[in-house]
Amino acid sequence: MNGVLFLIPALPFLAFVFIVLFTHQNRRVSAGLTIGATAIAWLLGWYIAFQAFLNPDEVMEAPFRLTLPWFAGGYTVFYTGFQVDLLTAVMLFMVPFLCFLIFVYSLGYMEKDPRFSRFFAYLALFATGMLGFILADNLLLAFVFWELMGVCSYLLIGFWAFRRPEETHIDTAQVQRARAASLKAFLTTRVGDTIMLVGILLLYALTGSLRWDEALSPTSLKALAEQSTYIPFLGEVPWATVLAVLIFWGAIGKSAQFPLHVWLPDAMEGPTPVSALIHAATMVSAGVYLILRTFPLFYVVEEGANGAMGFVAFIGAFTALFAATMGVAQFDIKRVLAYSTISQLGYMFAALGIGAYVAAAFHLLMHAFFKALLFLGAGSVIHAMEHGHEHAHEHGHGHRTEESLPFNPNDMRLMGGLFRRMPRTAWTFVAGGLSLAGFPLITAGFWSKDEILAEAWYTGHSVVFWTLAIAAFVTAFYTGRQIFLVFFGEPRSAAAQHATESPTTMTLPLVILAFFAVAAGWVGIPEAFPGLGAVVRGWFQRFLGVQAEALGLHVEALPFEPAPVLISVAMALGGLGASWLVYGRRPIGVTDPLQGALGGLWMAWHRKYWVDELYQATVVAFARWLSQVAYRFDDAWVIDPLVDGVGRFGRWLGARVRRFIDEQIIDRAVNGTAWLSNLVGEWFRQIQTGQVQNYLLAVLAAVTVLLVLGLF
Amino acid sequence: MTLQDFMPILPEMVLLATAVAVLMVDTFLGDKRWLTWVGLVGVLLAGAATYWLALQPPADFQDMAASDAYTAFFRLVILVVTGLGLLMAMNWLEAHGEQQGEYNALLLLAAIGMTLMAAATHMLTLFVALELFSLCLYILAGFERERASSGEAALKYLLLGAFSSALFLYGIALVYAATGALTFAGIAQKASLSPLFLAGVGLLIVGFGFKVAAVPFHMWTPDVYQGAPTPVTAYMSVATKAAAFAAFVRLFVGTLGVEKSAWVPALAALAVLTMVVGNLAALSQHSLKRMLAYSSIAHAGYVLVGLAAANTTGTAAVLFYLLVYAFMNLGAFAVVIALERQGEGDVTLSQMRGLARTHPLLAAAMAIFMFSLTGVPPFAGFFGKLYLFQAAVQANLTWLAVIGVISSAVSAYYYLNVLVQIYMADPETPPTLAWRPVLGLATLVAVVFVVGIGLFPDFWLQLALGGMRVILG
Amino acid sequence: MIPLSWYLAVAAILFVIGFYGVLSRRNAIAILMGIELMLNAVNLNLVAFWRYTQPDQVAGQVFAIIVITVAAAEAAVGLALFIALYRLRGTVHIDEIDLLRG
Repeated sequence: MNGVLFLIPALPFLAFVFIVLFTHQNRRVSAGLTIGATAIAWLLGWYIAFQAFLNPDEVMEAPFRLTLPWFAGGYTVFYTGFQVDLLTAVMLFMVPFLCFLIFVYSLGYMEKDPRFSRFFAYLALFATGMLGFILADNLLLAFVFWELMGVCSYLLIGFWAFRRPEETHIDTAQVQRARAASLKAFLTTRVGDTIMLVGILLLYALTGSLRWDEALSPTSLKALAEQSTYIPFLGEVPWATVLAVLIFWGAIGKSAQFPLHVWLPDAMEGPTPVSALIHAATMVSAGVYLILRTFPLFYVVEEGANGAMGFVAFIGAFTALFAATMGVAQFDIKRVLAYSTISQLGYMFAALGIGAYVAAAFHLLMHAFFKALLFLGAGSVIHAMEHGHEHAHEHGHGHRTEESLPFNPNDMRLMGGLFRRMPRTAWTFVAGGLSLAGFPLITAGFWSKDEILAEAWYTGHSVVFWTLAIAAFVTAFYTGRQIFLVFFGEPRSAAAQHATESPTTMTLPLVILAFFAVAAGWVGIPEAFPGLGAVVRGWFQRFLGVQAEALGLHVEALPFEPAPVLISVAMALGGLGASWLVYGRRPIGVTDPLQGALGGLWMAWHRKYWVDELYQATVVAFARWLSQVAYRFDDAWVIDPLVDGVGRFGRWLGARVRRFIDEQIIDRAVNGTAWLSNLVGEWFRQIQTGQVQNYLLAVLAAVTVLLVLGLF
Repeated sequence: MTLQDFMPILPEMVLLATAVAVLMVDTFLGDKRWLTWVGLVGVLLAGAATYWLALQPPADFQDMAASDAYTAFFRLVILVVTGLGLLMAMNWLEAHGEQQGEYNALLLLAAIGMTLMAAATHMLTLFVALELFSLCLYILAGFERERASSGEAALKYLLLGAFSSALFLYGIALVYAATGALTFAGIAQKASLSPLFLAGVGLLIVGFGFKVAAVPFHMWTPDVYQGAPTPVTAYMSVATKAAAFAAFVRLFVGTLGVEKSAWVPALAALAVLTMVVGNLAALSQHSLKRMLAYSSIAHAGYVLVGLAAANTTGTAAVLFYLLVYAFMNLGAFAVVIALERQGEGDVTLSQMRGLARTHPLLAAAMAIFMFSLTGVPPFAGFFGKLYLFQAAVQANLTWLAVIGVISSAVSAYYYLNVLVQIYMADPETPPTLAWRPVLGLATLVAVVFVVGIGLFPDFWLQLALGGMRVILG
Repeated sequence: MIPLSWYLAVAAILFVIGFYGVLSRRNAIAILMGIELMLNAVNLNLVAFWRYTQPDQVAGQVFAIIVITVAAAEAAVGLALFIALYRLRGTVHIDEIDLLRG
């Protein structure tokens, strides 16, 4: 069984290689390869995951493991491999399944895209990255896959940045935005990754291993907690805390937490299945998974002296509320969801920061289901809007918007009344939305969010509790706002009027996900919950509790406290109700009613607290200024032609690289250096005949040249 | 002439006496292992003499050779290399049953020629020194008489070497005609840009180009390095280069420095060709010795960059680099000797596979040498290249430094390929080693110096600067 | 008295003949003879320069004598090597001696 572990990430990778090398001309085969490979990975993943679900204690005792020597450094061999313990099993239940569903959905969504095959190749590569990441048994391999995901994220956000001229219906502004967004995502996450890499190197230097079970074994943890290092202004800080904070920065970047959250809303420029898969369900939650993996590092230092936990809790809770408020004032259907994703990830980090290991993992899992559903639903809406727009144009229907907004299929101000036109999408979207809002008792989101709130209450983190509770209210409010704006009221544009339901390849995954978005939460109903608790008895808590115990965490079933539950319910219902009062009761125009009521505050939310502008004015301006100074400095004493030459070389190289991507020269898959050595090296080999007199002749020629040049 | 007059060439006298002693011991003593130790004692005595001379004020031997800080630096380099060369050959000689007395004596005689190259201040000394070490190396290259490639290497080396000597000599004659002088000081006084002089300088460049293996006079190098017995290849790849560059620098930067404009462009062009061709040709080699031969050509190119800079930094950098290069290249060849199978005289890259698994220490040593040859900090090779390219930038030859950096980036491919073979591949057949304590000692010394110079480059740079001041006041 | 240029011309011609021999001959011994010819051409140069520019010093003359000695040593070493190689390969034809190449 252990031997097949590598197949899970390897199969999608093979699909990627095959598509790039052989089948990129054939759309159907390419998509088939990706979906087929993912389906097998999914089945394998579930097989392994269910084994773990059935025998948690056995698997925790002896995790599935596949270990290979990777490289030798001096006297030590660096081993690498894959492993499945209970935490991996949870992820393995979710990731390949969602990948499969979203890939199927992409069949319909990307149907008309001319670079359909490439899209599926990238998706397969992403699946490799995510599956490899969750299966990796050491931090270095995990980091490799982590970066692979980063690259795929970059490629997929910018998927429409390389649109060809023949695709004339694409507006250039969108292309520009996609280009900028992909770059922004890549660079912003790089900030976090660089800090994290320092942490990884330090961890290796200090413990001599990067395997989860070795580097974070009780003995090495003890050493890390006891040894400390001096940091200016902070004094003596335990190594464990330093490492935890450094690694957490990687998660901040990847999971788009404040202050590195700016890339995720822009990343919505990518195709919607990408947003659903990468920027909602899997990759962005990889940050949470990473912290779950390295949690002992955060937890090991005694509470009072532990800066790392407090830092995580602060960042998480702050981001949860901060991002939720921004979500209230967006008109782009996907951007609302993006802010909601940031906010929900903040919930998970806040949970981790207060030590609620199981609750964080639970919310990670539930969020993946309902957020993927919401994104796919939004994609279905966008798809319908685009079709409606084309349809309306064909039949010469005029614009109905009073103050004519430019057509944008993502703009919720142009939607409305879609419930009747696309009922399946609407029902499933509402299910997902209620789950996100935490609609009591029946939805998954309620149970996972409630778990976090209950932990915060029980452990006495009142600041975290109230921040999250207010965030829950805001979440319910913007979710309700979205549902009312999109699906209810009257259509506010011709496109919305002519929208039709999406094809079955798109709606079927919606239905399946809707089931999970509601029902999956029932596995985690706390044992102490009146009535329902007796049926499920907190299965999920008990299951992952085994893992948490093994990590040395103290886990106990919480007693039932009515107060947090009632507050949570009140917040969810209150938020939904408030949104009905503002958006659902009467028809609205292009101006948000809330804008008038809140004025400046609403503007701050709408403009995302001007964080982008702030970065533009500080970090980016500073970088510009620095490069200007460096340029001047250079200009003064380095020869101009050299600088010009480098610039020209850079442009030349840039053009080459772009061509490389555009024309898929990858399929020749030639190693550049091997090619060079073959060409030039072989030529030199032929000159070197072994004949003395040939050598002498070369010398004669050289002497002649030298003397002629020297004398004349 | 009194005995006192011979003092400036005391180390050479000691070496000569040692060579004779080795031949005598060879005749009268049954246990041939003593020969190495006798030779080593001679080298140590010569080193002591060098140290003693370095403390004395500069002196010269009949206007023929000078004993100053510059000479002392190269005597040091060549004596260390000779000592290591004796050690590295010891087990190999035992295994091959060759005439150990002759081998050791020839090595010591070659060392005399090489130190004299560095000391020479007269064209006659220069020529005789050149011929002395060349003749010894011709014989040593063909020392393994039962192996055809060894004889072939010797034949090629001899024919091309003698031919280059003839050109070199012709150059001397033309310079003599133009200036009427054979001493370096006399030539410096009367140097002028007459056609005769220019032609003479051109031929001198060709002659030196042969000895340092500069492209396009390099073509003997891969064949000879591959065919010659590996300890000989190791020795000549570093010692010849050091000696030839020593004379090259003294004659060109020192003596002909006034007419710099006449030869700097030519040397810069040679440097470019040498770096580029050496590195590119090394890419497609399968034989480790042949690859190292091309690599040594490329390194000659780097040194030529420092020579073309023709300033104080460049001269010091040349000295420093030759010292560094001696250790890292000797070390790499020591590993080749260890890997060599009986009677094959060569090692292919694939033979190194899985070395890390079976011999982690040796693999680590090879890794250090390869990193240093590539120029990865903190190893000595990094600082060597740094100083050379710095000198080129200072001399307004930035383009030369840029080409140097790019071509040394190319070199990373084939050096690291060795490491890939060592560390990542599985062996077809586990490498069998001719691994003896003495060879281990030589490798250890090389590792210590490569790492030591890399960690504390300043001390060695000061030595090189001392030598430089002799050349450039 | 014969002008210096004549000596130089003869020496240059001799050098080039030797060079030609080195390039055209296939027998290693003949190549060695070509090299000897080149060395002797240089000797002629050295002696002529000495005679015409510095007849009062001995440097040029001594140089020529030493070159003759060195050339003899070179020939001796060369012939020894050729014999050793001939015993092994049965030929000293330079075309056939190309095990080492590439």
